[in-house]
Amino acid sequence: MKFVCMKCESFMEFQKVENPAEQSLGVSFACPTCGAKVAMVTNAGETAMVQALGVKIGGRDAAAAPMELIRENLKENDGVKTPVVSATTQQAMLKEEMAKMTAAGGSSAPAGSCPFSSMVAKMQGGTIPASGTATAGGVAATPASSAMEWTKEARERIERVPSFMRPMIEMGVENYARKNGITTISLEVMEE
Amino acid sequence: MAEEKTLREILKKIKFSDDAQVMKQLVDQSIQVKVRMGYIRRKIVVMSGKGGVGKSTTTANLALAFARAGHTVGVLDVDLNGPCIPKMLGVTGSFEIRQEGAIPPVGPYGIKVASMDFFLTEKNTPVRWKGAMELSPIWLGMFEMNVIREFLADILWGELDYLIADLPPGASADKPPVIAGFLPELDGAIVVSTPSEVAKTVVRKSIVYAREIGIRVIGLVENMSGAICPSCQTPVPLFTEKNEGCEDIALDLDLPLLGKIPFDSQIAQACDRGIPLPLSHPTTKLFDGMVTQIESFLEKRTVSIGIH
Ligand SMILES: Nc1ncnc2c1ncn2[C@@H]1O[C@H](COP(=O)(O)OP(=O)(O)OP(=O)(O)O)[C@@H](O)[C@H]1O
Ligand SMILES: [Mg+2]
Ligand SMILES: [Zn+2]
Ligand SMILES: [Zn+2]
Repeated sequence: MKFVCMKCESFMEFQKVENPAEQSLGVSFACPTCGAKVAMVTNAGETAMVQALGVKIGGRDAAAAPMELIRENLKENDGVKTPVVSATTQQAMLKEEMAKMTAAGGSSAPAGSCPFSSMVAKMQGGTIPASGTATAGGVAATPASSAMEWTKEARERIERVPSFMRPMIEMGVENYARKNGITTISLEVMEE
Repeated sequence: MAEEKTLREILKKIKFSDDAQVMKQLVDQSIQVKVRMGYIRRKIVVMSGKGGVGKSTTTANLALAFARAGHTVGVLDVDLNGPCIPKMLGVTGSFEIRQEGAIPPVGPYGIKVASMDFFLTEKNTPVRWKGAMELSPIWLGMFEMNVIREFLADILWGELDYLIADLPPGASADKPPVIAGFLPELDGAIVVSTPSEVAKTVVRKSIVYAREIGIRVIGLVENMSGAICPSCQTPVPLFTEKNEGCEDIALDLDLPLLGKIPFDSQIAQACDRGIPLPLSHPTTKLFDGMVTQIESFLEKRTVSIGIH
């Protein structure tokens, strides 16, 4: 996520993270052009949401370590660090499939420019990583409104997905379709 | 709103990049689950709308029976808050975390077991998560789903003939089916009930709901189906006056009744000690019989798909 200075039409820059209260974090930004400042404050739920999805905000620079989510979030493991794992054959396979799915656009943006990463890392009691390796995630991804057609079968299939996951899956399928110039989502498109 | 429009224009100019790539990461996660599950021939869940009816007992004994029949078997203990499969199968130890995944401990007949239990050092305390998961049931639910996803994605089962998942008791009739629906390409569900009216009512709802969301129900297991009198060996009904069990739901819902397991202290003891029932025990044969039925059900299904 990013903040924009509407006046200067530029992205604001991350400044610092602090703990204004228990279970809450404040993140400050400043406009590099005019110097205007804003601060964002989160509540416990917002941070939990990000944690619960097991996504790293800021993007991943290393593959997830096996059972990382469990090990990082178990209370009794407080202070235990999950080792960072480098890419493996399997991850390479995933990447290849991913490359097909998210064919174009912004997918190789450098990690870590998003302030959320450091924020969530702090929330979890860790240190602030330089390149965004905090566990985070976001329903924050607002569903892209679309004029995409879904066939009845495809609809039925997606209805089976737990409701909280549905918007995200829909979005993924639609993005895939869009990138491949498909306008009607059928079961075949979903299989891909 | 005028401001929204302005922001859109601004963003066009300064090019917004999705650094977080939330969607990509979520897709990554689900692909990894798919890749892992690809090595597993059959995936079944053991569920019930009701708690304490013997799901875990059934899961453990079915796993043993599948393994006795010569299959490679894995058991996934989806009960994050009351994991008991390791104890029932007598499996101790923990995951061996490798770069490419987590290797599960192995129990009798080479059965591989994955359970939350292996992460807990304090065996008698409940699972507790950090942060706000402790405070909010909504986030906890979401987080738990994700933990299950992680189990599916990260465990190195290798090639398996059968993966059997033991589902947790649901607070409501619809929770177990939702969790079952979370497993990709599920082959079917085994539903456990006792002959008590209370259990049957909830279990019935659960089956109907499971079918609604597209889960195939393989059959029903009636557990604690009467007791054997220790002195005269006559069967004594436990829950109902007449000795009628789950036949009525099975009939109504057009489901095979896979077996009726009597209430038997030897079963409970075997589970508590983590030692399989002796091969000569009648209940052992009952489970072997269920395995035969489940296999033929799944085979039939494969053939009919082939014809389509
Ligand atoms: N047929 C049986 N005869 C005797 N005891 C049994 C039988 N089936 C289950 N039990 C005992 O009943 C208890 C509950 O069984 P089990 O844990 O398998 O139920 P469950 O449905 O998995 O429970 P939960 O909903 O808590 O997960 C256990 O102590 C078990 O040993
Ligand atoms: Mg159980
Ligand atoms: Zn400015
Ligand atoms: Zn008697």
